[in-house]
Amino acid sequence: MRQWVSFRAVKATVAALALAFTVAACGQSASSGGGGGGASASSSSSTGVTSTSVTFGQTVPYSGPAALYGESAAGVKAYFAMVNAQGGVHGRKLKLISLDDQYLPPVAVQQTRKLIPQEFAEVAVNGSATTKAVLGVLKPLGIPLVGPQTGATFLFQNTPSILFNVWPEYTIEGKLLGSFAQKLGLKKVGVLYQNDDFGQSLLSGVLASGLKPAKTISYDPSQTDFSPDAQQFKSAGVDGVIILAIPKPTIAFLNAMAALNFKPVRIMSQVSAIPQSFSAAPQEFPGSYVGAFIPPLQDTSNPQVAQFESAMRKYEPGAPISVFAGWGWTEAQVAVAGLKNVTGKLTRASYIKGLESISNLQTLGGTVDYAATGHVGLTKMFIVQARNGQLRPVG
Amino acid sequence: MHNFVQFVVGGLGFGGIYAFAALGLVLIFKTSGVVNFAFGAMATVVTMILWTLLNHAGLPFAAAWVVAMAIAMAIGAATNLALLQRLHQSSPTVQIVLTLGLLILIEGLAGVLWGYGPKSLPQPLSGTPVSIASFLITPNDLFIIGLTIVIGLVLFVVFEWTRIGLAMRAVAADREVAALMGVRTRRYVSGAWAVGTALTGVAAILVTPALSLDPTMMDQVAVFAFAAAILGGFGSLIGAVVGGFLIGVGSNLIAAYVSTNLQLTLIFVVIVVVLYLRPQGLFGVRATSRQ
Repeated sequence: MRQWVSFRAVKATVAALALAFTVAACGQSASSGGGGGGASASSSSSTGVTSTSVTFGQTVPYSGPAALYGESAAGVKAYFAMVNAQGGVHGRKLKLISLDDQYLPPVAVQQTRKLIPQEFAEVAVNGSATTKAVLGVLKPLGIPLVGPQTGATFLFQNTPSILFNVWPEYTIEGKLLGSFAQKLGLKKVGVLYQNDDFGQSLLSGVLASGLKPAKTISYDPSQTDFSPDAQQFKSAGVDGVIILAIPKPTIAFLNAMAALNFKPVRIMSQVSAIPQSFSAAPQEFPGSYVGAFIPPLQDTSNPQVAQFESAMRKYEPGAPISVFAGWGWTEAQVAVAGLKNVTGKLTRASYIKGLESISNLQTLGGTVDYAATGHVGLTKMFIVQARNGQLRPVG
Repeated sequence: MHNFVQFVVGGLGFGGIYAFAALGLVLIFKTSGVVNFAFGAMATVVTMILWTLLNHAGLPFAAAWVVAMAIAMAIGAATNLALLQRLHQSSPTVQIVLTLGLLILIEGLAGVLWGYGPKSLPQPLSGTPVSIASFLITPNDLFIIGLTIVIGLVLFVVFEWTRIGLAMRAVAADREVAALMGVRTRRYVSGAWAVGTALTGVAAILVTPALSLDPTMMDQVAVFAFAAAILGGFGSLIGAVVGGFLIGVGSNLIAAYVSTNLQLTLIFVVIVVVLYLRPQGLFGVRATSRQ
């Protein structure tokens, strides 16, 4: 009897776990133009290239704490679809295989290994820690990566030849936020930052602006209760806070300040500027100042914005026309510009040369000039303000 | 000193939420002997259902709460009847692995059904913070603290001083003997799962306005609730409430005076010290057995 019960118990447990992992895997594959593939790491200089197509790969979070950033893939897909509708690049249609990394570096590595036998290059991989992990796989194989969605400082130091940054380095954004706080004439500024590559890079930029924070507090990304942080800033008498955080902690911190009736000027990184912040931090998000390189999306007099929005509506009608999609669109613009520059046989070496010869390229996010700057992408950011449910120009 | 007291007051709101979640955890453990690691994910699903009732079915807030609680109780009872009831003679390890599997399963399902974007819920009691003896606290936090204490006391009275409570304690002590004495064990255990799931559901609903709702929202809250239950003695309802408030206030003080990065670490250091000095926890009863 005892043995029978144990066997049944083990059976039920195994079944539950198998079902659990099956469901978890359901959200994992969100691919366009193919998917699957083995775990083989076989790859040659022209893998992913045929006479009629070029295949790009990417890992982004479609699930997990940063799943919203998965929206960026729609921007890449829309741009590729627009280029394909115009005949592709040198007669080749663009394909994208987009896999879920759950914002977890080990999963990103696993998914990248799946991409290797099928992809020519990668575009718009999301996250600092995940990009670091993915680079470890791509670098030995010489697979180019265009436009990781991070401005972490490590990407700008000893940049490998396969890596082409698009985002401005976080220190540029940090400097902008710090300078803006000084321009506003704030007397005592507090800084809340995430205790990792992302937060520390931004903080070093803030300090480089010459701002001397009255109070600096670091937090762990898994922290939930931000009332002690809000209280400490309030006790320090700060009249402005610079928030260098991902969306969920930002929302929790804004709500914690509201609970203390504490309303300093809020200045924050672009990574927190998600549409949902307007409803999830209803009292505190409006009025916040936010760093940006994607221009305000209601400004359709800007031809880049108009083209982006019209292509999103046409080719990705179900996807939100968001800043995140704008990231993907900008990175896809750079990846395609590199392809257009290739003359002769398309190999990874010729593609890298093509990217390196990009000069004064106008994108949605600004000007990219690898010919002049090396592998540094955008270098200019500006400040927008959350008003009436949108991010609008300051002023 | 004023700052110190404000930090204490600031920790009571989250403390109440940890206490609520710990109550659900302890109630299920006390009756069925199962440590339900999926309790946070189950509570998140209850909150997602409430969000749907409010935003898609258009129900008023109070009605949506009632319906969500009824669904929470059904989910709890069904989980017991479909899965745990069949395994009650298995080793605790098997049951723990099952609830861990459920945690992954439910979070995955919630992501597929509701997506991962942050959602918001209104506070049960909105309003600007009120000042009590110059210390600020929101009406919502006062509501959470009051509700936690009342529900904790009601559960304590039911468990200790009523026939239902006696039957539940009998089931917990020895399910087979309780059955032989005429106690309908399946009904009581399912009842505990139903009420326990509703309680953790309340914790998740109460914490949502401060955070933002997504499938993993309760992961970290659940860790603090576990800590509260352990500190309180993991079998004591009053212990769960006191443990919740102690953890809420303690983590606030650690964040304020030591480091926010060490909140969880130091909380568990305190728990290890408490358990070393008092292995049964603050409110647990020392277990003795004859060899």
